[in-house]
Amino acid sequence: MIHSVDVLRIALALVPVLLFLAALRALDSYKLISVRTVLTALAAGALAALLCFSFNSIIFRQFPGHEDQYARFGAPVVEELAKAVYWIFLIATARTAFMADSAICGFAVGAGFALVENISYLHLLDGRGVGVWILRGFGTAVMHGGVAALGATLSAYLLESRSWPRALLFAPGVVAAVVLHSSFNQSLQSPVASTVAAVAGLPLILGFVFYFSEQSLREWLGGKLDSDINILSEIGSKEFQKTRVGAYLMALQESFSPTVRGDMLSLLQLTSELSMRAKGDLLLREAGLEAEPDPELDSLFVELKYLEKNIGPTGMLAIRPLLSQTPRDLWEMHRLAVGVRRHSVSAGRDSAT
Amino acid sequence: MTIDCIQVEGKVVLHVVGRMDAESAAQFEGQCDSCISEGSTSLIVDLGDLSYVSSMGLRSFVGVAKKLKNKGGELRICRLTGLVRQVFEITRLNQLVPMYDSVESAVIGG
Repeated sequence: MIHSVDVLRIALALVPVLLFLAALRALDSYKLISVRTVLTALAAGALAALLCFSFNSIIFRQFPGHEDQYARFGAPVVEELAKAVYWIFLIATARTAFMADSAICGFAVGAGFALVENISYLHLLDGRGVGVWILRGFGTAVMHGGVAALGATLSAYLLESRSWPRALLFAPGVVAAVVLHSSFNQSLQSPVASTVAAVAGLPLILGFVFYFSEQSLREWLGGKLDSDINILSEIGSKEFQKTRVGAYLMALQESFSPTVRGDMLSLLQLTSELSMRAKGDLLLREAGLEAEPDPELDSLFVELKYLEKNIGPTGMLAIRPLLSQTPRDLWEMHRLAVGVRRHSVSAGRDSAT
Repeated sequence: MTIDCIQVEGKVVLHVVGRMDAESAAQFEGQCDSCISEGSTSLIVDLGDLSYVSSMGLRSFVGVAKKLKNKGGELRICRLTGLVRQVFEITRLNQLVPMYDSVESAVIGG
């Protein structure tokens, strides 16, 4: 029979971190991270926790009597590395490109980790008072989400600012997460202070992150959209050959055939158009509105692949200076491609029924 | 950029001429806001003589359309040509701001 105190313990173990995650997503005005991505991140975090649980058990068996030192210094390294695998994957593959989105994904991974950890502790700490569960639910669980969120945020910032060597891009984020986690664990003797610090400090820090992330997204959106409009205007201009794009393509006439140069021009126009489509969607989101699925995206992506194939690898290298390929541009193309896949799947379902 | 405001069959029509960049977008939004504060719930914008629209211009259109939608009305745009038409079509903002070929059809709304 389940007593009300058990229900309270379970609720305290699981609910605060999930509420924190839901609040983060609700605060994001662009809502670029789908519920599906959040759920996947939660699952990845849960898997990381299961792996760490097995690893930590082996360490405890191999080094009895050193549990306290391991909890302070060893476990934060192992656990943050395990959590980082998924948020690094999301950032490295351009599935997320903004600080706020990275923070949400990082927090979701940490929350998944914390949920599994707290479920395992429900059994291990059976009979302990509600106070312990307040500390675990609001302190440890929120800390797990928070440090992963800050690590992911720092990595997203470094990726966009290009101020760090690409090979070491994720190192500062992971190190920051480890240091914060370890600092939290140093005060295991006074967990109330750690919990208060986590609950009070994290919303403040993430509030700043969200503010600067939205400012940055807004600026990028405006600047890049203007640049796309200008490319379109140059391509349609009567004096195209005198424009930046026209002059560049004219300079390639000795190296590439007229057909290939024609395809290069078409590719530039198409990438600008795709970029503008994505930004139209963002403009609507900025105003709190949802864009309808774009039925033309499928054919535009087919055309894009066709042009890339015709131009060939050497030609693609030659027009690279005209194609913007920042992490955010890659994210944008990935986002559109996901839209194409979803549209294809739903179209397939419709035709099957 | 210049904006002329006229009444056609009881509807407010704003005729925008020139280029709508960051600076003039604020002028356009201000003009629309004053029409809304005077009681207009639907506005028609004639873009036949607009040669360029920037991201700030597009933001202004989205902002005004949202305000009118919240009041139960609508922002309609008409007579778009060239680059401006391309920009509205490609960004698919015509989902929020319906496009018409003439002022008359925008007034009727069909």
